[in-house]
Amino acid sequence: MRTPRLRPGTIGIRLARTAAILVVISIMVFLALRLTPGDPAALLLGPQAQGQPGYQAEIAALHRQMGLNEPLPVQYLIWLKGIVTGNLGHSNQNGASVAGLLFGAAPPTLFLIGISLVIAIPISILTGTLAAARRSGIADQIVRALASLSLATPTFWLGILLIVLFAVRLHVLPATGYVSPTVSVGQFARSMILPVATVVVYLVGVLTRYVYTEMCEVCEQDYIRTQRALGTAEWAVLFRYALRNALIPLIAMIGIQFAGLISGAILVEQVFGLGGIGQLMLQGVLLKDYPLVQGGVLLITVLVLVITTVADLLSRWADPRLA
Amino acid sequence: MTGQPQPGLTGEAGLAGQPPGGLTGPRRAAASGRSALRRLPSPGRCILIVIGVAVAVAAVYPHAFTSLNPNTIDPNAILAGPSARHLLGTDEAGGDIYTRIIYGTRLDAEISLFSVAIAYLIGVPLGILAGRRRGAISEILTSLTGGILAFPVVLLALLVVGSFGASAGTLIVIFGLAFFPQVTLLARAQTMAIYGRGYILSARAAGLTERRIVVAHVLHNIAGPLLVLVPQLMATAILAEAGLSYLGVGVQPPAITWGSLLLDSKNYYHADPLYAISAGLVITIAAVLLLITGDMISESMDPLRRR
Repeated sequence: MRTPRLRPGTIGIRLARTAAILVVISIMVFLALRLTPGDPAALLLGPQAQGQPGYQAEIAALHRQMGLNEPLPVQYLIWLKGIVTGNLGHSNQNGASVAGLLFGAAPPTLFLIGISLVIAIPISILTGTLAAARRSGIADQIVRALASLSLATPTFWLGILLIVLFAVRLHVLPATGYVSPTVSVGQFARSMILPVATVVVYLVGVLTRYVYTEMCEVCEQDYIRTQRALGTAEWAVLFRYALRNALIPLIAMIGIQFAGLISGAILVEQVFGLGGIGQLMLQGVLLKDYPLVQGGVLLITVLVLVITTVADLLSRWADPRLA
Repeated sequence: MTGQPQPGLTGEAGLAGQPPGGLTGPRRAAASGRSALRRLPSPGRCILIVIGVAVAVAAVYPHAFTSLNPNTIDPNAILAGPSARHLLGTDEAGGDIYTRIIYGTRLDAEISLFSVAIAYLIGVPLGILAGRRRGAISEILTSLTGGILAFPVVLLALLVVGSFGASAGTLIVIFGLAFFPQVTLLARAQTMAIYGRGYILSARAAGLTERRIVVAHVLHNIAGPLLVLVPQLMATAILAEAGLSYLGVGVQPPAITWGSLLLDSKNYYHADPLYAISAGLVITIAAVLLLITGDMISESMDPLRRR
């Protein structure tokens, strides 16, 4: 019988750390929104309302309605109480439920990130391994040059170039907009091709470089030399022996990359008008919609933390030396 | 987008990444320093150095590269194609695109250099502090950096810029704060790896003070791996600046950055493709060159990587 690879203590410490990070981030976002200049009530009424009769009274009424008259700690506790009872509050802009808004905007973002990861991971493993297998060869040079190039290209700019080429010039794909797969699977696929391609180019750049570095390190180890000396076929050395150990750090890497992916998704959604969480948050920040931004950041952080924690535990499970 | 592949983000990987039974500590650093000098005149490096100097000159004395004023507008040449007077044509107000790109260099250089400097000033001390021994401080610092890393940079920037207004200074502070966790994690992993080696024990036995050990041994040995991250983070800063400009929260006119040029060109992909493409290409080329610089530093550090 094998001894359990993950001790309950390890999991406990991870979970406690995750909870601490969540509390810290919730306080940071809460304060960042309130301590920076800009009054949500004034933004809601617009600059043209300023100076009109009854403006001050209207602002005061809005403040009461938004619960901004309470002291900051009380506001924070009210928000926390709402989260615990499953109520993220209502948007300042139109009174819609924050949970409902986020839920509605989640599919485009999750599809964009999910599909891109599913496509990018196998490609990167293949390209990274090929480049590492022929160090300093032509394949190595080309793969590494392309990986650097894809990292260096501003994501949204690539998106715009793709739109200009495929939508404006060639008229083969829609330029912007998102179609839910429940409406039409075909149109959903057509609407996602360009955004996904944009994210995949970036992801393949990041992940290929990472797989390459890891593979180079693993290939220098004694057990690989032993396998080669034993006459094992090169593909088997690479894919059966080396890759296994090189992929463990990749799991953690994908977890770490996730926050960056969300950042990228905000830009890509904006370019392609997908109407996802990123666009919702952008709007919320510009209009200082406290409940919406707080709820959105909370959702994104929980998502990122769940994924990094799972990735961390997975890599510890896969590699007993880390546990 | 942010995030570059960083070998050795965890202490364990940092340990595993060391060449087995290779040179240790100061000897290894000295050896790589010598060979780095020997390798200096390779053609690739010479080209990078020349470009680096040219960019530095463009940032400090932009008029060395162009006789035109970036804010002079020519109403007779709006969105004009390339000509002898306007190398890359003109923008929507008749400004010279080439001149505006040259004058944009300064702010991009400032933003990328200073934000990375802030990240290192915060990140390196915290990383060494967290890496020296396991315990409450290490645990708190790891949680803090993990928390910031879990937070999408673009959102952080939107929150701050949305309220304080966009200027190069705000961007520098935001990027510095967004980047320091990566520096901390790398410094921590490298410090942990070094404290696991014999020569720290010898130094202690020889009666060296803790401060002397940190300065002479730890800082000296983690400097190399940390240097690799500098160009990578600078590239990230340039790309992030462009991204924020695109969202409308970059520097405001009349300040010019490459990102602001890309934003201005947004509506002219059809009318003047050269305008939009040249603005984006400048950013791509700058970022590629920085990434290549990082790879070169990384290769010159590792005797096993050199072929």
